[in-house]
Amino acid sequence: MTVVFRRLPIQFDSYGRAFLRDEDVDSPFDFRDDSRLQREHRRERAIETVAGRSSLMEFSSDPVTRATGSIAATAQIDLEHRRVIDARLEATLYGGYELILNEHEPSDSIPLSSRISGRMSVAHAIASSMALEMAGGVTPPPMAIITRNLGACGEMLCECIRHLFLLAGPDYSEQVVSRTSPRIWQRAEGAPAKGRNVHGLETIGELMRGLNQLYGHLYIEALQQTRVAAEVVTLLLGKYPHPSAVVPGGVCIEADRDTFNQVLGRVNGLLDYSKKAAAVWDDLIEFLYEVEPGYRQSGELPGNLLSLGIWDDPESYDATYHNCNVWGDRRLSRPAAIIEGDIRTDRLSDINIGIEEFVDHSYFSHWNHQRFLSDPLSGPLSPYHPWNKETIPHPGRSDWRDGYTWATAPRWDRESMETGPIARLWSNAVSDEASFQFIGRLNRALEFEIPKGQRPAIRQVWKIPDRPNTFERMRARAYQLSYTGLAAFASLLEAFDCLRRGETEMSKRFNLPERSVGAGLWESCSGPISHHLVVRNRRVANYQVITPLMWMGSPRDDSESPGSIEAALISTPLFEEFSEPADFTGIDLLRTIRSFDP
Amino acid sequence: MESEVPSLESIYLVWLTGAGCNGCTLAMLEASEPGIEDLLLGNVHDAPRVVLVHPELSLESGDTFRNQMEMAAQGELSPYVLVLEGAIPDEALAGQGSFSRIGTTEDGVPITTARWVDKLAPGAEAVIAIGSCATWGGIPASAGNPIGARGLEDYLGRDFTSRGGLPVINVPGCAPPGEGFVETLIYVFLHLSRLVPIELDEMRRPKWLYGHQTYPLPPRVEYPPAAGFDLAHRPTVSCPVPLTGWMRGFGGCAKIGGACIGCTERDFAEQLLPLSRPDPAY
Ligand code: SF4
Repeated sequence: MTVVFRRLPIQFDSYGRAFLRDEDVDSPFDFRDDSRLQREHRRERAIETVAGRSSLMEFSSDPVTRATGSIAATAQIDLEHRRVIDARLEATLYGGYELILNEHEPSDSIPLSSRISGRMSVAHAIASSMALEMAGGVTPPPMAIITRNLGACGEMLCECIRHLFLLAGPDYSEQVVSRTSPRIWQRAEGAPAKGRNVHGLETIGELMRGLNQLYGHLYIEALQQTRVAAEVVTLLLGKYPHPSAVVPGGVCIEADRDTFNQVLGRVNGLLDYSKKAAAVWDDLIEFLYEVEPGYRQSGELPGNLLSLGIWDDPESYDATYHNCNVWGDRRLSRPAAIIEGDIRTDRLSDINIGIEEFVDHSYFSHWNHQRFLSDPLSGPLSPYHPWNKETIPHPGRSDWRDGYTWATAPRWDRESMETGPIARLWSNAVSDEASFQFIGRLNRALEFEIPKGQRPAIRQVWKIPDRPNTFERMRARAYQLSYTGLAAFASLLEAFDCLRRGETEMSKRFNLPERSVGAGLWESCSGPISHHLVVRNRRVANYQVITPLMWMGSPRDDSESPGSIEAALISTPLFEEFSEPADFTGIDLLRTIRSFDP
Repeated sequence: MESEVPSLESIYLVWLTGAGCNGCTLAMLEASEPGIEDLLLGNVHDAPRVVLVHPELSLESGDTFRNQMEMAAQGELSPYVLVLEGAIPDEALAGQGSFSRIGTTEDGVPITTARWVDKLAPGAEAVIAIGSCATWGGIPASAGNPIGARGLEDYLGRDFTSRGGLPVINVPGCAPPGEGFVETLIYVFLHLSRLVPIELDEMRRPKWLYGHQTYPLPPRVEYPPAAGFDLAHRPTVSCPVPLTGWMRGFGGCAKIGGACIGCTERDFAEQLLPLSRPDPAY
C-alpha cells in the first residue's frame, strides 16, 4: 500500500480504513518534528550572524496591493548576492466571521459565511450548503447540483480573468517592466510574439503595452470579460458577490431553458476568450524564460499541492461523508494531495483527516479540548483538525517569534501546501483517467479541445512543469480559464439533458437533527474552501472555515516551517535592475506573492 | 469651510478598506455604461477624470502606495473624495495589536483603518460609505464578533460635514449594485462642480436609488419558511435591486427566486435574516 501520511501517525488497513499507528500513545498528535525544528533554528541563527552586514536590507510592502486579502510582506534581502534571506507574510485584517456564526441557526451560515470574501462568495455559499446537507442528510436534486456547478464556474472564470489581467497582469506591463528591467523591455519591443495568430499581437512589447494598468487594451478587455462571467453567476444565482439563490438542499431558481440559453451564450464567448488568454501568457512566460533563464527559480516550491476538487457529478453526489470518496472522485476537477510532485492520495476522506490548523504564530490562542477523536468513517482525527479547532482571538503586537498574523497555519500531513489553479491542473493531470469528455489526459499533461467560436477551434496542451514557480502559477491560471470554460460547457449539456427529461426539481426539503456534523469541501479559484460544522441543539456549536489565503499566506507552523508564500519568497532571486537601493521596488518579490492570487 | 471647485478637471478617489469582504469593489467593477474605467479615462460628460488610489487596483504597492494616502491627508493630492469599504473596528479592543491596519509607523505602531479615517475624512470633498459594513457596521458588527465594528457615520458623528459641505453619503447593500454606486459617484462629482445638487434621503442615501420599498423574503423552495413570518407586520427594506436587477437588468435576489435578506438595512443579520430562513424543525 502506498504511504499516505509520512508525518501524521495514521495508517491504513487493506480495506483502506484509517487507524492510529499506535493506540497506546497518550497524545499521538502532540509531537514536534525535531529535525525540522532544528533545521529552522539553524537557519535562524545563520540569519542572525549575517544580519549585521551592510549589504543586508529590509524590504517591506504594507500593504501588498492588487491582492484581495489584506496582507503585508517583509523580507530580509541580501542585495550583494541578490537573494532573500528570510520572509514573513502578515494578514492584517480580522473579520471575526467564525465567531459570529456560533449559536446561529445553522442555515444562516450560507449568507453569513459568504461574506467572508466577496470574490469567493459563491464558493463559500456552496461549501456552506454542502456542510449543512451533510449534517442534515439531504441530497439536492441533479438540476440543483448542475446549477451550483455552473455558478461556481462563473465565479472561477471571473476570478481567473481578474487575476491574470487586473491584479497580476500589470506586473508584466510596459509600465513596470520598462522601469524595473529596462534591458528586458528593450528586447521585448523587437521580440516577435509566437502566438500572434491567436491573440493578434505582433511583438512582446505590444503585448506588455496591452497589459498596462487602465490604459492597456488587454486590461480593458479583461475588465469587460469579468462582467460577462459575473453575468453567468447573476443569471443563475441572483447576484455576485453574495449569491441569493444557494440554499441547503439545492438552489431556488426555476429550471428555465431561457436562463440556461443565456448562460450558454456567455460561456461560449468566454471559451473563445480563453484561447487568447492562454496564448498571451504562454508568449509572455516563454519570452521571460528566454531573456532571463534564472526566472525559473523565481518563487520555486517543491510541489506540495492540495486540491479538494470541485463541480459535483449530479448522479453521485449524495452529501454524505460515508460516500465522499466516491463522489469526490467523480468531480469534474478531482481532489488530490501531492507531496513533492507525487500524489499521496486522491480520496477526500484521507485529505480531510490530514488537515490540521496551527496558531503558534497567529493572533489566536490554543484551545484545550478535543471534541472528536475520529471522523464519521472512524478515521483518527487530530486535536488540530478543524472539527476540533476553536477560534480564540488574541490580538497583540506583531512579533516574529510569537504571533504576527491573523492567518492561521493550515497544514496537510504537517506540510505547507500550495493551492489554486496549478494544484488543480496537476491533480487532474496525474489522475488515472480524464475527468470529463472535453479534457484529454496525456502523459503528465492535459489537453483541451476548445470549439470554434469567433476564433477557430483550437487544441491547447498544459504540461506539468518541473516544479511550481511564479511564472508557472500564472500559466496554470490561464489554462484554468479553458478548463473551467469546458467544465461549464459540460455542465450546460447536462442541464439541457435534465430539462429534456423534465427533471426540473431544484431543491429538496431540508431539515436538521438535534446533533450532527458536516463538512463542505470545495474549491475557489485560488484554492480549497473548507467549512467544518458542528450542530448541537439545532444550533451552530462550532463553525470553522479555512480559506485559500490561509493555506498560501500562512505563517510558520508548530515546527517553525514557513508558509507557502513565505517559502516562495525565500527562493526568489532578485533580477530587478536598480542603481541604488532607494530605487528598489521589489518587483520579483511582488510578482511571487501575487502569483498565488492571495 | 467650503472649497471652491467650480470646474473639476480631475479628482482623486481615495479608497480605504476596513473590516469587510472586498465584495463592494467587485460590484463596482461590474458596472458598465458607464463603468469605472469610463471615469478613470475621463469619458463621462461633465464628470472629472478620476485618479484612483485603491488597494486592489493601484499599480503601486507598499510605501509608494501608502504615500499617496499620506499626501492626500497632507492636502497634497487635492481635491479628493474618500470612499470607505468595510466597517471600522474598535481598535481599543485589540490592545497592542490591531484588527485592521494599513501600514505601521516608523516605530511599528499599526496605522489602523480608524486612524486613516481620522487622517483622510477632514480634507475630503465628499466622504462615501459603500456597502452595509461601511454604512451601518454590517455583518462584522453583529453579535458575537469581538472586534466592535461600526459604520462610518457612527464613527465620525452624524454632524460631520465634508470639505464639500456634504454629510457622510451612505450607499448600503451587501453589496450594493455597482451601477448604483458609479451613478452616485458621478452625482457627487457633479454636485461638487455645482452642476446638479445631489439628493439624499434622511438616512443620507442617494434618494433616487433607495426610494423603492421591498420586503425581506424567504427563498422559493420546497420547504416552508421560518415560523413567525408575519406577513402583516413585516418590516420594509429600501433597495434598488428589485427594480433594476443586479447588473444590466439581469438577476436580482428575490426576482430569480432567492431570498431577500434585507441586506441594505441596519442590523439585517440579526433582524431580517430570521425572516428569510427556512424552518429547520419542520
Ligand atoms: S433585494 Fe434584499 S437581499 Fe437583495 S440587495 Fe436588496 S436588500 Fe439585499
